[in-house]
Amino acid sequence: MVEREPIVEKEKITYEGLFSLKDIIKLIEDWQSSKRYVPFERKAVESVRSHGKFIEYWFQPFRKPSDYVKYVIWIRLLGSDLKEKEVERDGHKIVLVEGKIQIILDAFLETDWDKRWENKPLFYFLRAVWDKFIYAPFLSGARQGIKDDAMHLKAQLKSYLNMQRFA
Amino acid sequence: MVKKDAEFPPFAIRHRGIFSYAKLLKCVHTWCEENDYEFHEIKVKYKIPSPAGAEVEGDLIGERNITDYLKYKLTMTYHIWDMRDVEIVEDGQKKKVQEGTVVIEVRAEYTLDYAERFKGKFLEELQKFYHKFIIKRVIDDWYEDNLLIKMMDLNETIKRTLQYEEYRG
Repeated sequence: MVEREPIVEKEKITYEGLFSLKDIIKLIEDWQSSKRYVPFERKAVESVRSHGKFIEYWFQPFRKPSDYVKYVIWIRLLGSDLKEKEVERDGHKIVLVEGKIQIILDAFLETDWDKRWENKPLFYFLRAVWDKFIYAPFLSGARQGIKDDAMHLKAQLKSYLNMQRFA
Repeated sequence: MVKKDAEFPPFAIRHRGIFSYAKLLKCVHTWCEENDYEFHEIKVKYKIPSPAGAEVEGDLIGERNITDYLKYKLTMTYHIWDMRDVEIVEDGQKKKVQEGTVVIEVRAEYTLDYAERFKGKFLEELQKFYHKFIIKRVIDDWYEDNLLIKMMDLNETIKRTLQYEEYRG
């Protein structure tokens, strides 16, 4: 089994007001592309209810910087009581969404994603020794790398939503 | 022939509201045609409608021979509950669509040696060596990632047809 270590756990961004879901998803896609993550969408839920729309998107982009280490980021978008609203900006009418949205970020570091060092007990033991005593500085750098990526995404999302607040 | 599920999990879509059943099936068929996949509808179950609506289940498959050794397969399993016909007005025109709860799961898998060339004990052992040491890297790094991209493309088509919020406005 792949060793998965949580690096960032449940970093939340909560926003209530007008926003564009299209722009948020575009921001996530552009971020994935700029950081060279493979885009992977695990779940997409939309439910129309009497008091508004409920949405849930779950992205799991990943990146393999080496044949031993893999960065995985979970991005969950939860929106509730969403209603479409037409607003005028710069003389143009655009359709935005009004409601509550919560974005939850998790980041994991996976080692031995190729499952080469888990077939035999001796290999498993050697891997544990390797990770703890020989490869430790590189794993520490990898942990910092994925943490930086997740925090960068969080900052981008926060700054976009803050801009929306004043738009 | 060696069938393998892709390393990444299946993709799930849940939609509750208005949609068009005919457009949903057509979009998958059109996507398969545009991407040179063979389209098969292998299962359709229609349960007698109750007062809440009809229940429909089905499996759609798209297959494509990528090389003479490897084949991709995408399976879309859908299940619709409480499906009722409704009439909506769109762009000044009346349209007949459906309302209900749709759950769709798209699963990806690939088959190695679909032509079954490696038959026999010796050739099977040779095939295991081939898979484990010679083409493993190419399958993991190239073909699996390409399969993921194809699956994401199909998912986007389905979400666009269901008119998800990200494609509106």
